[in-house]
Amino acid sequence: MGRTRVSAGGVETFMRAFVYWFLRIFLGSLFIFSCIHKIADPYGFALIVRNYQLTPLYLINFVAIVLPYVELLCGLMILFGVWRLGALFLVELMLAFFSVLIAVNILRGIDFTCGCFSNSPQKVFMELPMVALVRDIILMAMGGYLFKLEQPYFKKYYIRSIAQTNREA
Amino acid sequence: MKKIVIESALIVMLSVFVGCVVNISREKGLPFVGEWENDTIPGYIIDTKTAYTIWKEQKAVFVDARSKQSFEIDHIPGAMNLPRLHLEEYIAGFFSSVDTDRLLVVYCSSEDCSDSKDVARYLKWRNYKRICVFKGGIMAWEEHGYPLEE
Repeated sequence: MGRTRVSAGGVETFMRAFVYWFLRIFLGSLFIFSCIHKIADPYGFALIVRNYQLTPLYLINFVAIVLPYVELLCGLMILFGVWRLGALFLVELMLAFFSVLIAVNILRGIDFTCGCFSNSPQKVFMELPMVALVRDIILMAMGGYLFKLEQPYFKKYYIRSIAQTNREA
Repeated sequence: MKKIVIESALIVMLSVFVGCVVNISREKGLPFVGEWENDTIPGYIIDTKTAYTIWKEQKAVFVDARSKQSFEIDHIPGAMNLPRLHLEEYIAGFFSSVDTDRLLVVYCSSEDCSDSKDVARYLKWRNYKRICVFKGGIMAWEEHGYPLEE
């Protein structure tokens, strides 16, 4: 009588596809969002870079000019699926690099704000170093999982499970 | 793996290209190598008495680098507010009323705050040539009993 049978493989495939697209949209959008203030106010972002006290002084402006566009392009490419493995790899590298910078400055006892979503030196919750460090580690884990989902062996599994679902249907 | 490295390198190169092109085409782009050497403060650092003399003789525009709220509570009479946190927002108004060859005295709350130095650097980047940083800020001004405007 028209009963729909949902196999375990089908649900799993759906869930994996859901997680995959969620991570892609979330990470892509987040990186696009995080570069807007840096592009709009490059001088403010240069001050943030300076306040980390870890970048060579002659490189501060260059980092402030280029880094927002690396974030923007990575975000767009993850979202739209162009060179997305390269973009994901860069995102992971950036998150690891930011985490190390923040952790080093926490250990050095430097008074700074993350500058991740705002150029303001005001200590709002999301910009606090410890919050930023935990957030970056979580984002790195999310990126790592998305990277795993992108790997060829997963694709093989994915195609196989789709074929299995089709057979069962 | 090779593909990933090539893609990453291409993205970085593209970002450098786009970033540089946008920066050059901006009305006021950042210099590629900034003047952050030794973290120097652009212009002169002046003490409270010098700041008072300059103010009394009306030789300079005083720039308050604190927030709008702090500025509204009290400020040096005649000072203009250019909050460190909202530079891009306030700079258009500032530009229209202050010529780039005017002498500017930038201050913030006290000797410990860095907002005056940051704003001074920003103003230098915006082509203001004659900048002083009044290091003691509003606290030193008040301690000397000089007038304040509410």
